[in-house]
Amino acid sequence: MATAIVMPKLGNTVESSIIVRWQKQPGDAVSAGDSVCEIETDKATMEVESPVAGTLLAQFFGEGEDVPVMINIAVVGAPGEDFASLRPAGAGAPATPSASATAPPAAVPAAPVETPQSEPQRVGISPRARHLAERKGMPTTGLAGSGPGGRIIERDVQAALEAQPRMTPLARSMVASGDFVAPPTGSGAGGRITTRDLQPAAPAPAAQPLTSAAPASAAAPVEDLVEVLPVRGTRKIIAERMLASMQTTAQLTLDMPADARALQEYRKQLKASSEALGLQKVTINDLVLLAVSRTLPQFPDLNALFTGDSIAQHRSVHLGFAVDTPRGLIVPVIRHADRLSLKEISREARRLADACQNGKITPDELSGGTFTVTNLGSLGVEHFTPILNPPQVAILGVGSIHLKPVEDGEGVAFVPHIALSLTINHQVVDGAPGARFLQALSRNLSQIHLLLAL
Amino acid sequence: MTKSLTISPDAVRQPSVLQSVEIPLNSYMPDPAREAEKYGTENLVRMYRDMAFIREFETMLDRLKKEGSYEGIEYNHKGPAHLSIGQEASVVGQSYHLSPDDFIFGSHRSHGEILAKSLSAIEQLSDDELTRIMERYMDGKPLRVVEKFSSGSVRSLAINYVLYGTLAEIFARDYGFNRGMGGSMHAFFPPFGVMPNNAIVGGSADIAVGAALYKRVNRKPGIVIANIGDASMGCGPVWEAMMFAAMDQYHTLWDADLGGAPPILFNFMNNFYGMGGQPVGETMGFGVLARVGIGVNPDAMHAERIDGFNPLAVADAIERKKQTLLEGRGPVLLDTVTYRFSGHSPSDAMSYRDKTEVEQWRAQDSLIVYADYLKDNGHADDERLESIQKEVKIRILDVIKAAVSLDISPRLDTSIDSIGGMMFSDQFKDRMAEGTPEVLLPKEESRLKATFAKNRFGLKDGKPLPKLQTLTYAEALYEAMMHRFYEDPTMVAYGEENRDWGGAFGVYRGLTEALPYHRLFNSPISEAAIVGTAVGYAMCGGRVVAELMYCDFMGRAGDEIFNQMAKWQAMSANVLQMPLVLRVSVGSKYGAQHSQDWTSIVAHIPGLKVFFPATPYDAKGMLNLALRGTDPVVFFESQRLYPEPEVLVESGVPVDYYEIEMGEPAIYRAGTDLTIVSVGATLYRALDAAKELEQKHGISTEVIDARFINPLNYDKIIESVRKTGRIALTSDACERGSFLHTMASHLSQIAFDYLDAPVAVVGARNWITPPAEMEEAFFPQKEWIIDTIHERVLPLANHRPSTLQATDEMLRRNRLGI
Repeated sequence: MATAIVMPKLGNTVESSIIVRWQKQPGDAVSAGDSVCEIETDKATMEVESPVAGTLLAQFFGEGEDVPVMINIAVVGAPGEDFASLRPAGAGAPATPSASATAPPAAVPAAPVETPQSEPQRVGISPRARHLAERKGMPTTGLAGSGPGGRIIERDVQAALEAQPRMTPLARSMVASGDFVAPPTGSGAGGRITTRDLQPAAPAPAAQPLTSAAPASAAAPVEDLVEVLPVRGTRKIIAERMLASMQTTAQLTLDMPADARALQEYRKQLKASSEALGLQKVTINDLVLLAVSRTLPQFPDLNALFTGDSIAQHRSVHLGFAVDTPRGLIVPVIRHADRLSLKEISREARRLADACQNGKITPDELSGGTFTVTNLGSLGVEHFTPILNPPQVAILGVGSIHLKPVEDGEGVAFVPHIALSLTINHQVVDGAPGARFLQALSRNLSQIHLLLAL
Repeated sequence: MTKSLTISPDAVRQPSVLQSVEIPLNSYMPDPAREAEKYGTENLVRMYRDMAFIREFETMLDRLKKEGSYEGIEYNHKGPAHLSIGQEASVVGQSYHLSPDDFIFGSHRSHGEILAKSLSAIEQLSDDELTRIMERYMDGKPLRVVEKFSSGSVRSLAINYVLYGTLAEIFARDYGFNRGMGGSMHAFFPPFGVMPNNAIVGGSADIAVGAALYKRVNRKPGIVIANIGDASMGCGPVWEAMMFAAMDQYHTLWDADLGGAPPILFNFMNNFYGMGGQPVGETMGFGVLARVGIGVNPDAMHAERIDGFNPLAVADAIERKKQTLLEGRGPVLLDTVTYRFSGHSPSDAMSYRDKTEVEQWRAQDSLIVYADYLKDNGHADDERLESIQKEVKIRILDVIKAAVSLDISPRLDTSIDSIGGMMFSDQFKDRMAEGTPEVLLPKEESRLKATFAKNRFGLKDGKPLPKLQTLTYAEALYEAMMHRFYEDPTMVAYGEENRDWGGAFGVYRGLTEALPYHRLFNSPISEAAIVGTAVGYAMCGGRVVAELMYCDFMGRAGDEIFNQMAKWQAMSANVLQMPLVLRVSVGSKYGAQHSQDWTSIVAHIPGLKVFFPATPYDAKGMLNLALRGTDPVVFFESQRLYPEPEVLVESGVPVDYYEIEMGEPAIYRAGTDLTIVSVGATLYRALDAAKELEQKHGISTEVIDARFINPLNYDKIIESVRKTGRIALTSDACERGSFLHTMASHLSQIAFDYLDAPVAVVGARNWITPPAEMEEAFFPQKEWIIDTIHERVLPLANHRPSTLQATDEMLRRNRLGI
């Protein structure tokens, strides 16, 4: 008897998942436990396994389709078996072995046999070209290669770079991230595009906003070149949540710098420490996470969840931190961060961040946070206004380390400071407690070595 | 080839009969009374002692190999052990009349020769001389070990020293005579006249001739013996060595005061087996080995068969033959009859000989027969002989205990690159010995006068100057040769047509007038002996330039280049140096067997330096460098380039002495978009390609001549490819297995991230070289380089390739093996 493969429900809040890639095709033999497809939820990428052995008889949805959970997505059985009853209502039939109905009309000549269509030639890129593209923040997908066999070589990247407007390096890397688009000319020196000129990519980040071949008219202005992408998966959930956050909470951001000398000095010591200690990879951000985890317990009103009619103050710190991935922002949670050592925090943060990047993060690792830290300092951002992650009531933004003039005994000294931006939900937390928390955090950061004793 | 020797048709066409001299066989007549008087009891008994040392030493190794223990000492000896049990009398008798100045070269079966010759030398040297030798050798390190378990006189210490140095070498220990780098088959100890033993059958023949040549040319005392096996009579290089040793010119053309022919004795240790084959009756046809002498020269090489089972018969023959050799009347051939009781090696199942045959020989065992002789003639009684046996055993036990211990006798530390450090001696010496170089002309009156006066750069205002008035590549080489000939008294040069003709391509034109015969002479057409003798000459401490007229003839000297010239510096643990420059000429226009570039073949062999200059400037500067070094250099030259002037180095070829820096490539055209590296004469085709790429396609092309194949400093090439990102390599060597692929592999790995395309190799086709008229289809041409760049590196706009260089063509050729 044919058996259906069901779109699994991967967490309490998951309503649908996207089929990223079919790993088995109709007609393929399948063993129990074989992965038949890869799916992506708003939080993670998973594999769906076949519960039984047999032949994959049909796929009910195509790649890229958003499928509600608990719906049949494929069927396994003996070849020739009837599975009509398992087909979900409304699903098309993108691929079954007997799809002869979709054969091309006879009038269209068949493609010549010697050009196999199923395996397009992988287009290579020379190491030098890749190197140049990386250095310039230039995406290479879609570039036409002029090297032997269509290989993308240095001159192709150079040509693409020349076709691009002149930009500052930061602006270029922000454009390369896909989240921003640039106007044809900028406001910087000599028409150079700076970060000020960038516009958020909307409604979806365009993979190739400036290098795709122009459609019909060659005279079309550059900014009209858009590629429309469906909003789904991670992007969809971010879009919904961020809007809900802004619409349902009263957000207030407080800025305060913290003396970063101790942080930098300690980081230097960690980096220079013996490899055997396993401390060389501890980052500034890990140190901030440590400081937050040790400071928050004294401020229970910030380590809380607000559900409208009650405030749940948590004794433990479950620390969320923002990770930038190709699919969008993901916030994994370090559980019981207040009980972990610096080394443990650092290791856990790295493990979770890697899992986010690889799409291997589990829904459980993405839930249960009581406070969030987000860091744009490494991208050169000094201050920003983080958006709350409800039902949490506070989020800390970490900016870049910059020199700040400070009066000392004889005059003015330039002391490195790290920028802290705390967004709180004024419905629950007032400005003063927020400021006191920032003060404590700032002091703790400036004496990070003392904190380590706690 | 000299006008002073005329060939008369009347003489050579005269009917007659060739009479040959008679060959004595076992002519020695024992005469105990005369022997007692000649040698004296002590020496006669000492010969017995030496035979007993060898017997026990070899028996000990036999036990270790077969049973893993000797007298309760357990040891697993992993290496070879070719034992000479049964042959003791032949080596002890041979060594008796040899002084430390006399050299012996041996084979894989030479433990007995090392011990016999060393024990004889110890008897002849004073305590001071022995102490000095042992203190100096390897900074006294082996001596320090031996002192720990030895007592008594210096001579007694020296006996343990020889036993230990040899055994530690066999066991591959750092305090062995050659730091374990030679092992059982190669161990040697020059201070006692024990020269390298060779594991290539007959390998010592031509090397020993070279050593004898060194003694003759440099007026050194002593004779040289090549101890080789009867089966080596089947080896071409052994015959070549005999031809080289028997040249008439030593008597007809060389200065009489030099003393005649090189003092070389070919001693065939005739044990009647070549591993398992029997030269007599099975694998050869001479019947009596000594007969071969008749075919070599009118003296029949003074050949004799002697009884190698009687030490006194052998001693008598050596005494007489040594005299013949010192009188310059060599070469000598001895057919020394002997027999090994042990197998070829411990793995020998003796499937090829009958047990009763072995028993018959054992019944005549020289140790038993000679012991009886000593007792019968009142030289020793049983007690004396037993006490000798006891002493031998005690010493060997003491030595083996020290040699098996890894604490006392450690192995070389290979965790650092210690063997790498021995591959080359990397020294520079203006002269290998002090003295005044023997010449026939003051330098100022030589042909240098003419070459110095020529234009030293081939272009004026961009236009070529007349070639005859401009210094050529061949003349640049001549200037380098002249310089070193007038600096280093040991330097000699030889090969085919080197004298009078001045080398087939005239490189040596002008040397004949400047140098006496013994410094520049014509050799027989014996490529193996040309290189092999040069190896022997160089390892004795003389500088030598051997020439192979065509690169293609290297095949004839394969063993001598690959196993001898390349290996002896490291196999000796740098006890020996190899100041040998082998000039080989890469031809063209002469078809399949005279037009090959074999740089890749020698590049593969560790231990050789490999140079290939492509301009007159480099030719002189690189030959200067090679001729001042102490390492073996295969020096490639191009026949295409011999008549060419310098057109790249604008300052021209300096008249004064200069050297090119070792391993440094030269940039002959600067560029930014593409790099072409060439080896050899393809440099000029690469430059033509670069010009066209720049003019037609706007591709700024850098051209680098590697000049050196080994050692090679890649820095300049890496720097270039980092800049350009694109690189093609080209040479006239056949593409498959070309050294260019080694270079390409290194560049891909080192500069991967900088490459815009894979490293492309443009070699010659994997064909025979066709005749001159069709050569352009075989050797890389300008068009091949450009088409290769177009197909594999950087497609060129509006370029229509005229040759097939795409990757599918590479696949097709490889599929077919062409």
